[in-house]
Amino acid sequence: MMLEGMAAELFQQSCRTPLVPAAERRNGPWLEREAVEALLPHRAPFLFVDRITHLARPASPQAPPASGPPEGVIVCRYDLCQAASILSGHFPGQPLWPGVLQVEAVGQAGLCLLRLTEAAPGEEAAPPCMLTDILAGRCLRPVVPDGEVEIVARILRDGLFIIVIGQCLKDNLVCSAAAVRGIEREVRE
Amino acid sequence: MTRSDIFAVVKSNIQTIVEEAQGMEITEEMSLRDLGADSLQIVEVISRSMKELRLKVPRTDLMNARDLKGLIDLFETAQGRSSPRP
Repeated sequence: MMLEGMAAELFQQSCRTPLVPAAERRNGPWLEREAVEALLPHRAPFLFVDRITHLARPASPQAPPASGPPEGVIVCRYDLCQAASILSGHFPGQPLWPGVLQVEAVGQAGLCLLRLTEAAPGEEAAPPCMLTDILAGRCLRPVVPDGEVEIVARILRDGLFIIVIGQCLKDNLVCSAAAVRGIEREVRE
Repeated sequence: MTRSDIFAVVKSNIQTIVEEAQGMEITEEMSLRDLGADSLQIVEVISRSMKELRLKVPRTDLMNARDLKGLIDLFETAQGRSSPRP
């Protein structure tokens, strides 16, 4: 399966520049770890979202605007201190946060966005999702373990599938971009 | 779009996605499982067909389709719902 149309364009954009300007990435609403754990089944050491610092709800996930500020987007943060056990082996003496974990982080951020913005009437959150495909990934800069990484994600609907496209930022630079696809758990079961 | 047109779209997607079904004669009485599709291929066939036919069918209804006949019935019903009324 290849990225096509809007998904391909968004992935390319994710490789080039932050999807949300730095000034907007902190303007809330802020959700702390406890709220994140209510959205995701993941737990440490495999939870890569510490908090949510920006959330914009989509007007329509299938038809975002061609220009102007992005809609339906989430910004999360993860403190790399928590990855110490992984970093001790990747690599000894030269720690780097693995690219595959950056792809996972984008997926987790996208799932937070989905659950916060697409709940059916009467539901607190949309149903959980299962990963089915890693559609694209590009590692552009090494992520060295000091401070926090920002994870930005958007979601697009593709029939019964949900595509998450996002990026990992450090010091306002794009370190990686990823596109993953999944389905709501109840569809597959 | 006629029932036969809908079935042609579904069959085409089965042939593209489910390798084991290539070259097989596909009838409405068969299920996607009969044709060798795994759970993800089933979702892919249904998803692509819905996109191609520009239909939306509730997920709960899709889970009740036992065979291709049941799936085509759902698509026909959805098509009736989405057609503009005179």
